[in-house]
Amino acid sequence: MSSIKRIAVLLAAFVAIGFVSQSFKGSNVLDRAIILGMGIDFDDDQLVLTAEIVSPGNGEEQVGTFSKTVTVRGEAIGQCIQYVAEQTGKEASLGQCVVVVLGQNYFEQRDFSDTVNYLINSDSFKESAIICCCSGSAEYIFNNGNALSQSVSMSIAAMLLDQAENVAVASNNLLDYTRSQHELDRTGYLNLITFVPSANSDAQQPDKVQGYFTYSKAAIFRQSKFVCYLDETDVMGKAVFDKDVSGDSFVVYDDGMAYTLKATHKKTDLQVSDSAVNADITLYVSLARTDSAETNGFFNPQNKKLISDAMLEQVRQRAQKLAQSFWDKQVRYNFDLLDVHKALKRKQGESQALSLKPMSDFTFTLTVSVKEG
Amino acid sequence: MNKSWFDKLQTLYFGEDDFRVREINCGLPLRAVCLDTMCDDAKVSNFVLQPLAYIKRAKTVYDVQSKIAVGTGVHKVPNFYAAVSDFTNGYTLVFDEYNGCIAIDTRTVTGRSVIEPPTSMVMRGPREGFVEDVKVNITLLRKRLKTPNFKTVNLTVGKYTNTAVCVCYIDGIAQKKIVNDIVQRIDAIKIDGVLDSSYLARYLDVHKTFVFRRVGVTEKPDIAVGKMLEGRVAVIVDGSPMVLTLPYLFVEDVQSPGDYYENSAMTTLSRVLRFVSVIASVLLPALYVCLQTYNYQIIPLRFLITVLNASEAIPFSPLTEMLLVLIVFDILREANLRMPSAVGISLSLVGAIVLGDAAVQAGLLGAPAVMIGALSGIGLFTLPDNTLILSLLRLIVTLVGGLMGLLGVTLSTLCVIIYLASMQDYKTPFLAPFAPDIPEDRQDAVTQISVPSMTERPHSVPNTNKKRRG
Amino acid sequence: MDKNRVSADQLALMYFLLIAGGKFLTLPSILAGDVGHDSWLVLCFSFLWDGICLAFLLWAIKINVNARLDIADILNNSVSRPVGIALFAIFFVIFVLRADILLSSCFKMFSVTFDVSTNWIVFALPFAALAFFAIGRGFNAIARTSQLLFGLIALSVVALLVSPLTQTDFAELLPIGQAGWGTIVKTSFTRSFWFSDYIFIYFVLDGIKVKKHLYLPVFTAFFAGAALTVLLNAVFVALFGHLAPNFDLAMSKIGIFSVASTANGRWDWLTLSVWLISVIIKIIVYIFCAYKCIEKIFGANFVKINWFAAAFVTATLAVPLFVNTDGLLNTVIKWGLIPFAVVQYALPLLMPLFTRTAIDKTEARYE
Repeated sequence: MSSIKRIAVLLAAFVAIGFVSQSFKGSNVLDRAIILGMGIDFDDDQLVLTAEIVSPGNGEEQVGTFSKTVTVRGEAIGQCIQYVAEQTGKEASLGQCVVVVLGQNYFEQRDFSDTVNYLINSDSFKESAIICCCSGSAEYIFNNGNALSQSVSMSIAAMLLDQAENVAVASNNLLDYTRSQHELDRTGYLNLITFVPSANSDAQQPDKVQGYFTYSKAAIFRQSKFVCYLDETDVMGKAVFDKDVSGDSFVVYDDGMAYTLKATHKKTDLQVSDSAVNADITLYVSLARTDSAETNGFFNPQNKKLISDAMLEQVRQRAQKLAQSFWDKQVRYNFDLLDVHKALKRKQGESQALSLKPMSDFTFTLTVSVKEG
Repeated sequence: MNKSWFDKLQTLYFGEDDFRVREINCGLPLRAVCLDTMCDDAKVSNFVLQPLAYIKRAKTVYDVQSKIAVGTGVHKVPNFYAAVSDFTNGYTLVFDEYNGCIAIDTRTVTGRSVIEPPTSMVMRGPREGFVEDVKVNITLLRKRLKTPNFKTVNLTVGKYTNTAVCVCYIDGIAQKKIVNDIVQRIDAIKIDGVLDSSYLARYLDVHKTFVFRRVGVTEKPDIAVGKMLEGRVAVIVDGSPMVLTLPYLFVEDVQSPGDYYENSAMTTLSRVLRFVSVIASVLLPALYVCLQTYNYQIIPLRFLITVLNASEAIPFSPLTEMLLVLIVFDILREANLRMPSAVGISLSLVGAIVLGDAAVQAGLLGAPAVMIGALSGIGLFTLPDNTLILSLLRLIVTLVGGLMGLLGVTLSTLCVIIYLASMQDYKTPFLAPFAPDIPEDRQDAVTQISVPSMTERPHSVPNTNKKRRG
Repeated sequence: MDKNRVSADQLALMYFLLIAGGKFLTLPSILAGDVGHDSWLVLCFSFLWDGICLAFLLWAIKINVNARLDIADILNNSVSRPVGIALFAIFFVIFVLRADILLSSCFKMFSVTFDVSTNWIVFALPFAALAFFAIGRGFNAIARTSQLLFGLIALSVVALLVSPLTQTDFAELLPIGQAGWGTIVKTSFTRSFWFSDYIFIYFVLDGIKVKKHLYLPVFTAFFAGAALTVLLNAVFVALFGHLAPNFDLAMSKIGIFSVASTANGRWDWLTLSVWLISVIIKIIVYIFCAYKCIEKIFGANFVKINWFAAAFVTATLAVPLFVNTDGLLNTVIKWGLIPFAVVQYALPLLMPLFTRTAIDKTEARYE
């Protein structure tokens, strides 16, 4: 009896293993097209999705190019991703996607809220992924190499994530951007990437265009529809308000010599009432050195005062001008990147009237002071 | 009646060459009987025959017993069963015509000498190890426990082997109820023969555990004494150098003989390493397989690319690949264990270089899979006593993980933990002092405080005196 | 029965895991949908009621320490056996539904988030098998397992919360009470199905070992569990704002958020798996209680696993196969709110009285 029982248990175990192995369906990593970044354009009434996909080398080869791009067309992002699977023969995977770049003809002409909602509601897409837009087509960006990195997606993500603070450009991830389009005045921004071609130094791929990315501009959106661009001056003006962003640089003159000063940190105090906004900003600046590590004040062995009051005053005037210009742009195009509406919501609660309140309803007072530090 | 004992014995050993009988007259006719192969000739001559030659007016055999003062091991034999047992153990039996029988200890010492046990080498600390002789083993314990509180209960187990079993404990520390329970369990054993203490371990495991070891085993007297000082009971089996200790806790597996002779901080570090490596060796292959099969997003991107590069050409599924690696590893380990040490080294080299490297080169196995398998295998050896059990466990968890992904790994791990947590032998929870949580015992579980600070005996093990210096 | 004995400390740790176990799945998004960023206030009110009921239940345990009457003894001797059976039937429905809802959340977590597609039967059966294996080994084994894994589970929650906590702007929760206090209190009642985790204690009443303290460990666990739940909920609504109701599984989204660096891989899935152990333990405890309900209804005492009862409870886990769990939940709230409230909130308040009465009657019978 005991041996029959054992045989029965063994048989049951085998049946269970067989049943379970048939019932649990996962995708082997080798059967997945792992998307590192996506560029989305709009052409001929269709979305054009350019996906940068991990492409393993052969056998032990672990260095060299490890990504390929695939371009597909479809009516919606979900369909495009399906087509990526069809083209590659592998199921598309968004879990490792680090960047989404929107092409100029897409973000300027179309409402791309469907795309953004699709991504934010996905359980595998990281909400910390960078979302940005580009001048020209995203396909062009993804198909042209970057001199500094193997992968365009990784390069853009690294640039916007790691370097943004040091060069006075705020970056936006998918979550922040999506929230900005759903709440209060429903305006937000995306960094604008531009590809600048340069001389090709790669002997292996002489025909490929090489170059680098710039990201000193931004675009403003309301409910995922394009509103206006922010040029370099506007972006710097925004950075003056942004306490998380340091690295604003100012060229000042003293005794006939030119000096570059960088903001190491800042204090911002934004007082918002029903009809007025008072901004009080204190910038702490230091001399910029050749080593970029200094920009955040990591290296400053000298205690004596290096910056004269005249230099500080020049910085103050410049910062005041930049900040005021940025505010004026906000009023002109009626967008709110300084969270004025949010500050009011925290006091009064959310209401339709608050959401619709234009920026021109607020009188703006700005005080900028500059200190060495 | 006594005469019939002798006759019975003679009948039992009829035709055996080593059955020796010597008739002596000490005022009454006596017969000294011994098994030549089990007795020391010198002892028979010095402790039995010579004294008997000087005795002239004995009335019964018990007069002889009181007059043989030179031999230390002389006792009255109560029944025929005991007579046979003593006789087969190397005692010389002296029968009188009708009244009785005495047994004189003339056992020959033919075992190993006391050496460092090969399974419990230590950098520091005593190097003596138990041997196969129960008497020597008790001596080794008594040398360290010079107290009248050191008690032994002698038993015999095995219908044919009549193996001597000695239950040792410290009176005043060990709980009498536990000692009695163990003695009763051993007494109740019905078995043909006991060739090693591991036979008894199966009977002393109350719940007949399927995989996990529930009885402690040590080859070192210092460890046995250490455990007895905590309230445990030691069981010595004649013919086995492995002494059993009871009750047993899971955490004892991560403790090593040398732990108490090192700095407590170093001991803690080593134990944590052992603990982590064991968990890693059981879970790592399973995690690797289920990450590759289902949840590759967990793998950092650059490592993922390495894995992709290495796995693209492999003809097997990740599960098959890993099971192959693990089984090959187990075969190598088993072969290595059985080989003479000189050949063993070559075998390891063949296994590691030829099999591993060639399989990777040929594209049969991926380098990461071989590496994970090897890493997991090395981890298992941090608990040398449990290598087989853990190896079996990791195969099961890998299979379930490969079939069901992280859910399978989570459920199977939970199942094992629930099983372990439910076990309780001799009033001792197997996972103590963690489940149930006994804060006082954490001083010497995975972490260890210094010996002077250990003022209390473990609360997990039942004992009658909690104070170590009380 | 000895294998179902638990100490006060074990009871407290289990209670903590049960509080924290199931409330980080679908509940935060449901509450965010109901009252927006004030969902943490709903939790506060619910926990306030829970705290009061818990105090009464612990009082009943204290009264029962020496008598060691089980819930059936207490109810049969105080409110009569038919009423007791009716209450056990309600209990059974609550436990089975809670197990079903939790299982369906786990199913979502594994099949959607972890991208492992499977069917409900193959998913639920291993859970049922594990639950009955655990029941066979005794409630004590479940309690010890909780005790052993408590540190690891707590660590996983901390690991998941550290990064979001540092980035959460709690000012997003202002103004407090925007949804209206009446709505908040009402929501805390309509969503009461998710609370009163102490109800499992009814079924181990006879097995609680009280050596020194009872109130201290249990209330410490209660406050810690409640604080963690409120905190996590606040982080969730503050981080995701208006998007919060769209995100089904709060822990999954918070997990993704924790993976700040995009190149690190989804290590949060490993911590989520560890945290899910607390959900699995909660499911096991609910299945244990449902099984015990059958025992009490039929007045039986299952020494080993009763396969008919086990099969019946397992069959109830197949409910989500036929009914949409969201629809089921809404139906439950519509029809079951009052009966459930009887055992969740009224019974604990009366338990000290019932226990005293039952003990008096039992003693009188022996005299």
